[in-house]
Amino acid sequence: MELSSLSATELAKKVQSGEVKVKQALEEVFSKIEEREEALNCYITLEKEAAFRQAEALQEKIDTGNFQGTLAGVPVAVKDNICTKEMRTTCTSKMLSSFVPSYDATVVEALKAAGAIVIGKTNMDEFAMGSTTETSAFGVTKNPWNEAHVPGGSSGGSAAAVAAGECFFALGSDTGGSVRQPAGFCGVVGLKPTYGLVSRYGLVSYASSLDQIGPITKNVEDCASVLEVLSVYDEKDSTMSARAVKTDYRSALQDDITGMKIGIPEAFFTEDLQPEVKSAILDVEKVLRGKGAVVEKIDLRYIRYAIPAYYVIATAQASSNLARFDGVKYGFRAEEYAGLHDMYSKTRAEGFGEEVKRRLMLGAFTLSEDYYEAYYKKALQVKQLLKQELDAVFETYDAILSPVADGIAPKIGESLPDPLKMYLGDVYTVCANLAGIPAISVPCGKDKNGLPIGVQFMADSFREKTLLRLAYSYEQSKNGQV
Amino acid sequence: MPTKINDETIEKIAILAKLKLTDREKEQAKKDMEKILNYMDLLAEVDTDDVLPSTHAISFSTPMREDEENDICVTFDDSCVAEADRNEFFHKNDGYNNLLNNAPQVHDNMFVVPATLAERKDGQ
Repeated sequence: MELSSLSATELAKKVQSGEVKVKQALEEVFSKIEEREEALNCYITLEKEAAFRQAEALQEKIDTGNFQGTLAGVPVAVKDNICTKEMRTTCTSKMLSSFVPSYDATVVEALKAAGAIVIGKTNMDEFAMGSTTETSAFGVTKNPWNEAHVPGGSSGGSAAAVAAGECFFALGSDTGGSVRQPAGFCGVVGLKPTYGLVSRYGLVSYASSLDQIGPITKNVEDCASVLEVLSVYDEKDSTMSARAVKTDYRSALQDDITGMKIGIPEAFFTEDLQPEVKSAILDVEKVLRGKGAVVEKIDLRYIRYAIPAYYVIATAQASSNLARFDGVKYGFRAEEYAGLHDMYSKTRAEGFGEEVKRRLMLGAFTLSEDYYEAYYKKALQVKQLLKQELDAVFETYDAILSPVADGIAPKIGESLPDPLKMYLGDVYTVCANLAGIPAISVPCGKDKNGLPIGVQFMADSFREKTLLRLAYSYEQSKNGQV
Repeated sequence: MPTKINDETIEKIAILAKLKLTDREKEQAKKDMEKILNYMDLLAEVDTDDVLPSTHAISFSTPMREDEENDICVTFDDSCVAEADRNEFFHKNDGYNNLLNNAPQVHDNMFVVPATLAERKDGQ
């Protein structure tokens, strides 16, 4: 039996039954890491010895009948902006290059309790600001399908690690598409849950009203399994919804979408959408129709304003959240300075990379007295309008179908010279964050050079089951052809 | 659209964002910000009269809990004020030590910062 062909859910079952040892699962991923990591650079930190120690302890519990967990013995990679106790958490920034958290994020605690083994921390755009993983202070991650291309971002290391078999699943964070877009570019499944469904305690904040932690997995079943573990109410996160209760998401995995109503926003099919992506999305539409779903065009007039609203809100909240990095409490401090204020501004100038500084300046500007009304307040109003527009759509439709990105993964080096162009690429994904709704990215094909294309489904708040059923049903019809 | 970002604005933003920028960075920031803000000005097209700004997309009320000590917060009580007691407190509470281990400069279990009450010469 080839362990690498197993999903996380299948592996956990075999570990639980004793057919596979936890150690074997770790050996499998570390052999893949040995083979590919030097070229791909998915990981910032790997804790091999600690992982094998945990494996031994877990195996003993399993062998003596003292452990039951849906992720028993499954090696997982965690994005490097999610705190892991005694495991370095850098946000891929010089600012936090030696930061070691004294606690586990709630999601990490939950994964461990379910039997998953955290093997390391994955590369990302610095403080999750970027769409390519190229703003990392630790070098770019390469796309496992073609190393001349980026894996997407900001959770690029997590998506690439899953695609390359360097872990069985991973956690990412999604503020404007950072789980779904790299999942799409790497040919794996990525979910951004409803705002408030998954605890963010221990996630280093970027834009607090938009950030969500989500799973990146090999298939939709794994996505449901991991979501079951993650979506548990946590009193340490005051933005959690009371609706975050233990839910059997796997019960939604039924290959039946007869009568499901799906909307396709015409506004997404502009000339910027690459023809191969467009035709892949239209193929998805055909498949869904063939399975009995009703697919109709819908009109969303506020999509045009989603990107400006998103970047105003995200940068404003980032400039406030990242004020905590002051050279006093965590990690880096400039070597030479004259007085307190000079220490602050030199530490931040030396500790943050170019894209982070750009966003902090934009945020400081749009929050400043003269511009607050015209930008920040305005953006929050537009967010409200977009939310209302989507609410109205979900009165009639069960889900929205769209691309994840306007093209396939760009080549390394192509995106950073034009930040605005890079921001515009997020148009398909930011709506879900602005509206707080769940959205999933599922592989739906490849371009002529073999690079993956993803399709996105969105649903109303807390309708993760609808989303999973639709994604699962679509996945079944492909029979692993991607 | 009139130019919003001049040299003076960049200086002001650098102070607000607490970033010491080089001249090259200032020039680059001026260009990038102007371009990005011009795009963000699309928002002005939208009629938002009488629209309440959305803070969180999912409505919820702030959860309350009883005001009692729990394992999330550790009380630093009066008995810890004396230096010896304080050191003992830190010794007993690993979490605090781990937090301090991340600080660039620590003295007697406290964060070290440059003098904050010195006379300001920089006008900030």
